[in-house]
Amino acid sequence: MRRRHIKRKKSCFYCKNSIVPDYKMVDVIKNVTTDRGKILPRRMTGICAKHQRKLATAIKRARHLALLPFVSENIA
Amino acid sequence: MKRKYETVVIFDGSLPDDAVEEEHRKVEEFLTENTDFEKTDVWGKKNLAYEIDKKKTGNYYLYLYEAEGNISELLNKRFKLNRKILRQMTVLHERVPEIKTKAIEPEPVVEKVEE
Repeated sequence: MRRRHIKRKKSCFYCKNSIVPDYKMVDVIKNVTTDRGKILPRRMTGICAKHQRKLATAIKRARHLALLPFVSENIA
Repeated sequence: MKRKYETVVIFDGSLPDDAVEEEHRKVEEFLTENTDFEKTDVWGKKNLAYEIDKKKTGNYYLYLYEAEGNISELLNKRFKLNRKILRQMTVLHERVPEIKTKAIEPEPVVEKVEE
């Protein structure tokens, strides 16, 4: 009998704290990128669509300013 | 129509501090002349996430000001000629409320009302 995967309902971090993703808060936006530097999909982070779009823009701006890597070479 | 912009400038990290200070003063002067300059936020010397022009560190400065739309064009022309500036970015300033992660109120527990 296939074990049914119970999906925990995640809430949007930015809606809960009523903040907007911004490229300056590097530590906050860093934890939604993989160890390779890629942006995690919404189904993994539970962020709502509106904030996910703003988050992607913030991450791309941080990458432009060399605050975040495009591709992190040091694979742990 | 004047809008609020913020510009982040990365000065070359291998420069001596007084040279960086002088470059920073020049940028601030230019902004006070051409815009309603508000404030500067010094992020200081940081390691770059990747090399820019073979440089590993950079001095980050953030400038907040109110200006017409063509300001980013003026800044681009000015910064492009300057070899000491590794990178710059001008974006619209969006008021970002402070992170209140510590003050997350726990989910309200709804007591069962006995009829």
